Amino acid sequence: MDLAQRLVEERTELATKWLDLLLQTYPEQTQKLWRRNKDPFTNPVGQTFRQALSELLDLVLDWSDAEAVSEALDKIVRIRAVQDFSPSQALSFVYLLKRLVRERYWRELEKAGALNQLWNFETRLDNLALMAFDVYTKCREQVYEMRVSEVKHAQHKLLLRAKMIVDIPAGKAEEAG
Amino acid sequence: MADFKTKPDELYKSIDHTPPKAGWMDVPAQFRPGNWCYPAKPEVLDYIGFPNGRKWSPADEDWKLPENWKDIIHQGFRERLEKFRSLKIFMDVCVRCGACADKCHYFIGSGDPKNMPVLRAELLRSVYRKDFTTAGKILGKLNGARVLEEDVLKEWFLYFYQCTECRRCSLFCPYGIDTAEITMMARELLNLVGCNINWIQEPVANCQRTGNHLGIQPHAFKDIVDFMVDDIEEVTGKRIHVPMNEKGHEILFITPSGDVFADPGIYTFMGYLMLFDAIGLDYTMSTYASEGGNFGLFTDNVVAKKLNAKMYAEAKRLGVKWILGGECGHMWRVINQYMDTFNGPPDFLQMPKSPITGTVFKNAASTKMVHITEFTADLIKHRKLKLDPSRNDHFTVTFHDSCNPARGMGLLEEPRYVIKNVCNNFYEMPAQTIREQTFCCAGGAGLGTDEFMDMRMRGGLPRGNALRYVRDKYGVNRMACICAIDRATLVPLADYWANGVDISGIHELVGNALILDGEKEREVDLRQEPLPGKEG
Amino acid sequence: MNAFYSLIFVFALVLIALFGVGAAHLSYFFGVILPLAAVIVFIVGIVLKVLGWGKSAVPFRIPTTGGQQQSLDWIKQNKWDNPSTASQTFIRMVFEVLFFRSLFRNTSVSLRNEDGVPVVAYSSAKWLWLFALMFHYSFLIIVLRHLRLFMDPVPFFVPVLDFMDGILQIGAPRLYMSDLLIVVGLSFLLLRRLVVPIFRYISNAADYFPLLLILGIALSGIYMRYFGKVDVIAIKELTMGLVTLSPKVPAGIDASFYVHIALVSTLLIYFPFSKLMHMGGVFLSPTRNMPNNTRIVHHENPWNPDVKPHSYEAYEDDFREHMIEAGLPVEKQA
Repeated sequence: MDLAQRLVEERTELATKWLDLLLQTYPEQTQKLWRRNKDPFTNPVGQTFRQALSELLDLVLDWSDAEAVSEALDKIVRIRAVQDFSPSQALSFVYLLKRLVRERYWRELEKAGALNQLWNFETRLDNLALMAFDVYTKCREQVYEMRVSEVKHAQHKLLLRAKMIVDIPAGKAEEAG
Repeated sequence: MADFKTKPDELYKSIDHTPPKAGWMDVPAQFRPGNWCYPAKPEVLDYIGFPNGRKWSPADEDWKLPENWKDIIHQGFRERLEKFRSLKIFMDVCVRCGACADKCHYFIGSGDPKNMPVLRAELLRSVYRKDFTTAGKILGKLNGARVLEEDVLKEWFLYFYQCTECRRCSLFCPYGIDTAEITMMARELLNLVGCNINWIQEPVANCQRTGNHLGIQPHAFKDIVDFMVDDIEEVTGKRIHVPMNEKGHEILFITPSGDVFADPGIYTFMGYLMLFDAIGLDYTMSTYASEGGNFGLFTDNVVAKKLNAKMYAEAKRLGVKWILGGECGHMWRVINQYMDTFNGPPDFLQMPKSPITGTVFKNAASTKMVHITEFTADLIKHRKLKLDPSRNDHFTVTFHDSCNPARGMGLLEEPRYVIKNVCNNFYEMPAQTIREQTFCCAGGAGLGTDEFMDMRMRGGLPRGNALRYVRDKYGVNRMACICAIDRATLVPLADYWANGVDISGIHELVGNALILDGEKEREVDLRQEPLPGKEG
Repeated sequence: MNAFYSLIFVFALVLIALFGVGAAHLSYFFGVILPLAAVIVFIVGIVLKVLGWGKSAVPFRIPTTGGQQQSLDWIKQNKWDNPSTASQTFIRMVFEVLFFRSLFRNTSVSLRNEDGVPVVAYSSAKWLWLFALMFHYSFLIIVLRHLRLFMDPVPFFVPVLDFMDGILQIGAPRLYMSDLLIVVGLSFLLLRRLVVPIFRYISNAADYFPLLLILGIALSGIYMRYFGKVDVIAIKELTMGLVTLSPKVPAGIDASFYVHIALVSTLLIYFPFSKLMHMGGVFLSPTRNMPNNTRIVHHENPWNPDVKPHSYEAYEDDFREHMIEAGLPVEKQA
């Protein structure tokens, strides 16, 4: 059997199952609501996950555009980075795909003596996890940056008055003669 | 040779995060960095006369509650049931239909069931049933009643400081149950045992003493306004006079002090000053009543009244005819629904009438206080302003309805009318996220503090998501709003969820478009960024 | 579990009534004493509850506004969602009470593309609105139809209602639509709580019990009419006896009637102490029954605390020197 081909053929089902696993990391009461409400504006989490996971799966199967992978990861990680998760929990969704694929194809591949195909694909997912880690760190850094800059913004004119900062005047700076 | 064969699922058992299935009463509150605000400093509580100030942290096991805290809460609850019919009705009539469940921005973003308005209210209701109803006393848990224990109080603190009193749930409730009202009551109860947050109590103390939430003294306040006069001169070539604490003018102008200190509120403030200059308005500002916002609303009705009272007191001292109010959200909830009851009716003031157009603001007949967008919309309608909207052509603008003007007032068309007349590119966000259905900035009601950033981003997702949609679809790069808290909290929200969109007040846009008599040809906008066609 | 307890309790009520009338011959108790007591508890309970609400003050006028306020003359006010007069508020309440306006807000029907296929999506709340309305109106019609058992002569609208309700002319005795609809409505409301995790999570026993109880009442009533075909003449004799306070228990009334009336009595007794009081509460809800006009008309807080602001004089005393230095006008020179 050819794993790559099977993954492409069964991508829709995989995407749905992956979304299910991802939503299962939230309270039971919430999952149903997020799964059911199809309005992207009143249900941004559920709808973003649905769309981004499907996009991400395609990109992983294609595995040619690192930037696009990173962008799709960003949509999901950005949300999980500010929810009530530890970093490992926030990123676990990548490994949920690994679990899904392994559970689904392991026996078949083992019988066919083609487990190396699975190892190859899993290497890809390991890379994906590392990329997700980058995105996660970026998001967290942004949160801390925002905390600092908010304090600065809030007191902008005060700092000015205390002569702790100067505003750059409009126009080009005069060059020293 | 060792056998490395593993079962396919063995590896992943460790990453199963499916949450426990316990009933909500059995899930204790989880305090994690980013989901709670720092408690109020004891010296601040002493200054404003609040009881049981102490050094403590919500993350600690021991909250150092006063010995008889249960009695204190019980008595406070009883007293409030008599004083507020809203509380009594809202405790009794909820049928848990769930219409509100998915309406809260914090729930939408976090998925935490206790952020559903119905459960947030049940936190209080469960104790009400046990203490004040026959059925609850007899049937106990079967009837959804429970005893007030320390864990319950901790839950109250966590979740009633995870509500921004935005009233979105109230709009959808068939009985009009208003979580804002319930949260206010719960916070008053928590105050009694000294559990409150610093970002509310310290501004309250500052407003009381200096008249503004940062504690700026009057001379410094004037200096800062002078800075902005300088900036306006730099942009327009025109020097503007700003009357301060002067008697004998027609109108007193009051705006949230955030507009004076905080970026980007300052640009909105410049817009007000330019507008007043353009129409030659006979007005004064006051350093004593220099805070339009009212942090008292977020903590206690008596404090809210005390802070609000400064407005009329100053209007009386200065002898003005009526009061004009700047762009601010909860400030206008107070003015529209509380001020006249708190401290009115102000018989020493006159029916507000625009000195420029002669329009009488009949909807402020008793309170005598007019919203600046009402005032400006009227000016524009009567063509009293010379405007060049093309000076805002580098912006594609959308408008965020602030919760309080939307659901505590109904100020929907006025700001839109102003924007459409000063900007050429305006697009609405999707219908289910604006007007009376607007989503909160997730930093209102005293929660706009930096240690709460994680929760703010979570709760800000619905707004951010709608914003990103119009950014991608129409190229929106500017979100206007009429609230000083918004102008602070939406900045990180937009950075995080819809990078590339800036936030501004409406009167910043007015200031950009407004043509002042005798101004020089403008090269830059109020932020000193080049105007379209003047780059490079 | 909450649902299970409630179900057990309703079953117990049915059995008690069956046993009480069948084996213990307590038909006088179940036919006369219990219903009269229930009516007294119901009326007194409701009056006390409403008086209790009324006793609490309404310090502030705090309507939730759902549309454009009254503003400049050329801006159109949304009078029914953001009323500024008493009559506009009355209309808002009419919409709220008769048509469940706020629940209806949940209805967003939207058309969108999903993987290239246009999909119409309804939110579940649409169904909540529909079935809630179905249940409440069926219940109302059924209650009004029952007036024929309590009034003589029967008021003119009852036969009209009766005719309209059975207009489909199915079966004998004719099928009332309201009987069908109330069962459908109740079943939906019940299933929703049982099936959807989020509603199961927020539901107490106090949420299942009234649904099951009313379902029991409806089913026992349906049994009496369509299957048991009970002696209506005898029942009217009993009910008129209750109304005229000259109670008698005619022979030959089927036990199912006593089950029905026992459940109804339970409902009446339970009503004032439960969330069913939402029926009265909606009229008193301050976010709905008040106009948004506090800027126009003064509202008095009966316990308005006597609080003064930090005075200007104290403020100036605090900062006078700095103010003079900065050129700000002062009341008193230093």
